[in-house]
Amino acid sequence: MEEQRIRVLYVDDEENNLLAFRAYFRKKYEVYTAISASEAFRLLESIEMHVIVSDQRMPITSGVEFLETTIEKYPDTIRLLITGQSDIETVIEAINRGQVTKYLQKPWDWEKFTLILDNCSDLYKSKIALKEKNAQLQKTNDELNRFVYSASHDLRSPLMSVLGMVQLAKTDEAMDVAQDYFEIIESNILKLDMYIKNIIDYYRNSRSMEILDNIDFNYLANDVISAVKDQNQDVQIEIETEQEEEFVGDIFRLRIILSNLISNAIKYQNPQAELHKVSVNIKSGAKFATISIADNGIGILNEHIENVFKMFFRTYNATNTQGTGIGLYIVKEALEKIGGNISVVSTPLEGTSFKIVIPNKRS
Amino acid sequence: MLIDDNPTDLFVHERFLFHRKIAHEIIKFISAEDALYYLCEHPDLKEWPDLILLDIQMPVMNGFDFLDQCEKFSQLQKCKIIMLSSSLDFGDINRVKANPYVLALMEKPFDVDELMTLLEMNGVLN
Repeated sequence: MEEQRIRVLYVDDEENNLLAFRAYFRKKYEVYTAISASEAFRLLESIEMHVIVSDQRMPITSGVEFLETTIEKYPDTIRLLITGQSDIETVIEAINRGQVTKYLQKPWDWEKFTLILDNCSDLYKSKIALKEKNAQLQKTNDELNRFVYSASHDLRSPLMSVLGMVQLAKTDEAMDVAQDYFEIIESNILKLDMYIKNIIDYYRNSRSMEILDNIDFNYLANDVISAVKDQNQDVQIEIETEQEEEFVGDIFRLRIILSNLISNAIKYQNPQAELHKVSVNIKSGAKFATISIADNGIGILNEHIENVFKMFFRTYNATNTQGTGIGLYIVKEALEKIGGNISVVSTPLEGTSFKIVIPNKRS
Repeated sequence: MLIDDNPTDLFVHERFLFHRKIAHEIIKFISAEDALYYLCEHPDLKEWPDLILLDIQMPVMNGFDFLDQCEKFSQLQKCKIIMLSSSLDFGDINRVKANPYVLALMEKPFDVDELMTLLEMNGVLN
């Protein structure tokens, strides 16, 4: 819609008005005229008009009646009605019913007409610009979705192949000498993979609707823990679940939330503690479920507590285990999507406790 | 029988199976079409595998397409199939559960112990 001239159709039963209109505006706009509603129809069948100006007082079909018929085929067109003094009631109703966008009262002067016509023209241009922006946005969104799928496979595929090789090498007795190297390679691969998975989780979370399912918290908690247990063997994990009633929720997002929180609890241990403990406590009822994940790790400094949920926020810690910075951000976003909330309490060098509350979507 | 478009994975899986003495004879195919061609050319049941490790994401013909093509062979009854994927897609998981020929879907790289347990449970190892 860059430099295209705005097409204006003027409908009036008085020939003089048509001629004057054309003479005045033909330089600025692409002008079409019609002496009646039926002539206007014929024109509209083959040419799309951006602005339609119509006199109200016409034989057979009035201005409002005519303009109303153009709505279905040309919803974006700006409709301008020219009215007489006694038509005010009709005009107000027409505007409210959406048949008319603007009106111009007789007698008018050319300056006024120009002003209003320019106004209509701008209105049309911004409508179209918005439409284009939306289409562009939709396209970007679709591209993003394709990227998520591509990332999920193309990035991870060679990574998993390398991991397979490393694990194979670890089992080969001839490779005993290099075991330490393999351990380091493997842990770095797992770290990179965690980051990729986090990114994928983030984008999946931001685009999809809730997928509701029956949740067995005991099963879910154990499943999540067995998936993250490889991270650190010498952590004692306690699970306690109390679920008396049916709980319906988004299992996909719940899994993301739990695994990020538990994974963090395992990761941010206090190296000076004799025994590393993580306790998961879930109480589920008819209205909502409360999940607490507590650890005796290094804790979070007071000045950082506000920031932990921010994207890419990471802290330096004594054991130098670097997080991705996205985990808690994803947890918060996922909770927001399902209508839950999260709070955290922490004492440096003693431990941290996260508490989340999620609504039961059982109808 | 190993079917995977990734040569590294083919190598790794072959070594794992060999190392743990899970299979005494292993044939590898870099594409589903090649595997299909072999099966067509060898109708004798003896030549059909007991176990197929089948990658899902492959160009041209993917794991599921391959299965669709194989279903018309009665010899397929002999084969226990495990599908492999580098990305856990919920859609794939459901499709696998629905397919009677497939034992399970495992994520690459698979845990050899997990594989052995699965095979033992399904009477493939003897």
